[in-house]
Amino acid sequence: MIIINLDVMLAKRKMTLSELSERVDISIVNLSVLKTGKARAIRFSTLDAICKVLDCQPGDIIEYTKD
Amino acid sequence: MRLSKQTNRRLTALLVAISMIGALALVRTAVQIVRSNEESSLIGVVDTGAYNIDSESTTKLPPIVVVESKSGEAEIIGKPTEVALYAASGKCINANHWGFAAWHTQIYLRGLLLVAMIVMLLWFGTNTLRDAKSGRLFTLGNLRILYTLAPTAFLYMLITENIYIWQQIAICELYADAALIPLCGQFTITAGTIIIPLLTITVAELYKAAIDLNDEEQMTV
Repeated sequence: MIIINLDVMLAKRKMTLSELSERVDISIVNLSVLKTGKARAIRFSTLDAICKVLDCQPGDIIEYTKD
Repeated sequence: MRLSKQTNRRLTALLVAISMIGALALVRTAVQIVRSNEESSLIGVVDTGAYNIDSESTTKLPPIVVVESKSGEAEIIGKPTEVALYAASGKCINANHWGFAAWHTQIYLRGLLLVAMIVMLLWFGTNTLRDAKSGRLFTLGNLRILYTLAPTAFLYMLITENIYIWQQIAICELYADAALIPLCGQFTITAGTIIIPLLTITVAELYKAAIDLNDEEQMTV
């Protein structure tokens, strides 16, 4: 299964979700959907924007683990 | 389904108007059924005997139900040519006791189904208005109403379109042969009771698919 580590990255960068929302120009609702693992898909543009702001790799945000 | 504000407003108005018009039409039909039931009672039938539509035809006419109007005069229901033929036969046979019960049961059953459909249509309209406020249309709640409405309408049409059968049940001692149902009646039964519910369910399925697709889209960030 795919695990989202956005909260971990936010903690590492000492950034709040609303701050990230402002900087990547994505609604806080959508980011919250992503953070809580409810998202079914993620656009490359979203991933690109998040990685740019958090200065990380896509693998730092999404992770695969066996069920 | 999330739509633009203008489309949402237009579709809401359209759906609410359709459900309200449908509910009003059903109320009118229900009132007519109640009135006709109050004003008349089944008193008997005219036996067609060997009468045919014309001299060359061998088609036997279905029996006609004679009702007693409020004024007390017997009234024959049917097409003018048929009525003339029945009147010419001059034979009148009383309906049996069970015939009365069967005839009135179908009237009450139709009334009950009509009330159920009216409630569902009003519910559909209210739900649509409520959903429109949150900017969504064709929600699962409304689809469930459509799913319930389709079989109810199916049952109502099955009873209504088989009116000749009810007439025959009303006089079952005399006419138990279902072959008396005219061919056009059979066609109406097939078209009304099979095609229309199928269409309703197909439309509902399409809406459901649209919702699923939309939900998938909404969960993409």
